[in-house]
Amino acid sequence: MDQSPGTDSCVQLRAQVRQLTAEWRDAGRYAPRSDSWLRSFDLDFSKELAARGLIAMTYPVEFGGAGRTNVERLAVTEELLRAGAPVAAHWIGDRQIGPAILRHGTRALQEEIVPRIASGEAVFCLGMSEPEAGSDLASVRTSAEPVEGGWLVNGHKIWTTQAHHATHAYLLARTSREERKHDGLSEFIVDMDSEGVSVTPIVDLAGEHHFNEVRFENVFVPAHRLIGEAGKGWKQVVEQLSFERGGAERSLSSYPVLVELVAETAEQQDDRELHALLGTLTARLAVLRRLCYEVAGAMDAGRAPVQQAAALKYLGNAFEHDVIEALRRTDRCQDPAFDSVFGQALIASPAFSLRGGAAEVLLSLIARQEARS
Amino acid sequence: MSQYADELRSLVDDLAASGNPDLWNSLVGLGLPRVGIDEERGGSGGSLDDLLVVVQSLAGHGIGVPVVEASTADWVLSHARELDAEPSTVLLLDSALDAESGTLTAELSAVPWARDAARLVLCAPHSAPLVVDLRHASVTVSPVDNIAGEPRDTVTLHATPAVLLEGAPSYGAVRERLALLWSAAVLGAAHGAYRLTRSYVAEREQFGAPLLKIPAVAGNLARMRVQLVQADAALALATEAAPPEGATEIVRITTAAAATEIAQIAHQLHGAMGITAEYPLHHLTRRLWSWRDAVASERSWAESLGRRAAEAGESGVWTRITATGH
Repeated sequence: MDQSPGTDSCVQLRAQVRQLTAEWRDAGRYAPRSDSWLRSFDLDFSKELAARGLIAMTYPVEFGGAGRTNVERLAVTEELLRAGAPVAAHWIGDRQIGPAILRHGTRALQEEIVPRIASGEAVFCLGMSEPEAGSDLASVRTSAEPVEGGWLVNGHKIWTTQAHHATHAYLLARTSREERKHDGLSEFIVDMDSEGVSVTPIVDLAGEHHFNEVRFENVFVPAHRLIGEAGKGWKQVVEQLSFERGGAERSLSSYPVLVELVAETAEQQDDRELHALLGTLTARLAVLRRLCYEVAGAMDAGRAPVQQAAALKYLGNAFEHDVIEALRRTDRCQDPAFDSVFGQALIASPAFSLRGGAAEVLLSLIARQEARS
Repeated sequence: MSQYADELRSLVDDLAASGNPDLWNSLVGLGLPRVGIDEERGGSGGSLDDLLVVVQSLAGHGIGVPVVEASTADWVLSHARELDAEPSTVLLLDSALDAESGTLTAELSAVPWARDAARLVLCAPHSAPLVVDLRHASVTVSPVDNIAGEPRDTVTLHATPAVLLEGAPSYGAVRERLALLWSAAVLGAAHGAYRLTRSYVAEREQFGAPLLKIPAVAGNLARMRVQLVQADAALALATEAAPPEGATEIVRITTAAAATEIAQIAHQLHGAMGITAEYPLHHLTRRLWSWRDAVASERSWAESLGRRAAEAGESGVWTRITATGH
């Protein structure tokens, strides 16, 4: 292990991100916060990363990528999350949509969209969930009907993070009615400024606006914006979810709280219980990092590690919650301020285990694989 | 990862399946407890990784043999002298011993397998290991068993000759090796408990279908799998060429936590069947409960890791766990 060609470059990449985030933080251009990958939107920061080759890292050079490995990309995403940096503008496009188009898109679609993700111009939102579907993606009702030169989309998506900033939407829609509801689904790229697209905000319990509802009324989507094969969307989306689930953002959403917990524990010399609690959390963090590394390595080897990614997300979300509860054990959290590190993380925490598949859904996915093996 | 892993695993599987009543002597005859010790010192060659595979595989069958203790005692002895055929065991102490006079007087508790061993290797902080002859007239061994039914005897030494093993590994190195070996043993027994539980819930029918069809049962089986994924990753981390600082604590804490959850769920899913003497689950779960706190308790590993984390600060912690580069 660790004799991989990535090792030295990972060290350099970490140093580069640490320097950049420190500069921006010291200049007051951002304040570290929990859940920054969904909530902290700063297009300038994303473009700054893009200019340094720190997004689209695994994409081929010909499409504006850096041609690096998933293991190298992991080093960068870990450092960004650790710093609580404002990365929401590019996160979804970089993590999920670019790779999906590179795997399944036509050459024309790759040339059109991928370089714009790499430069930070294209901001993506994910049109998966629907009011009646939730985690049950096979139940999506949004339809795309074939018309001259493309498709006509009608439907309603919900929980669409950053749709109000997005230039593009990834869309999962039904293109035919089949006996099995997993068949007949297709994936598309839709311009958010198309006629018939409307976005209305959903304010969350923190009073923040990052979720939206998105409606599509007779929206024309050109034929070349189909990703992969019509009707094969289910297989593609399952694979895509393993990319979504297996990242460091599933363990580090509440990392700023861990930073406070370490400092607080150092002050409580006599509190053996607190030290043991911090020790356990440190061990869990180290193991989660190792699992992220294994998932990234599997992706570099061309595998979609579905079960491992689900296990990682399940464990990572539990860790994110337990870090918050550990800090609550100290006196720091009595009547916490709304915008304190603790307050921000606690208010964000109900979403940790929901997005990308609820904990119970992940367990049933793992159980199905166990029953088969 | 050991390059002989598959070979060693199937060797142990075959031995375990043979129902041999004298399994330990067969293992000794094959040289398996001396894997990981150089051949020129009387060992069987191979690496520590190979030995971890042997320990993990034996534990996976719920077999209680003194493989961890004998292999570690022999490894320590092999640094000071050539090994003979006599069986040895090891005890790790947490305070120093006074053996200046060349003899020892002490009451030692929880000495593993003392009744079956000819020699005891004693490792105490701040000194080289000592060896005593357990068959010497001045030694009394009183049998005590742990909850797994394995010997953890009380040994009384009365002016017993004790020989200093010059050139033997340090106290810290012995402690680390024992911690790794016990982690592998816990992991093996955890996998064994998982396999047994999985086949039970897949085969046993209630309410007209296999138990596995009940969502709560399937969810619990998945939780066991998640614990194994975590514990496997911890052992992989600890056995890297350059493991991060704290890797020993990390693997002990993670395997102990997995042992706790897996033993609990395994019994829950087996229902009353799992608590009978004839059904093999208890061979695994009683060992999980004993072995998870071997060498030092999960709680003490957690406290020492936490104390070092607090001293290092966030940046220190992060630097350590990312020091391997990836």
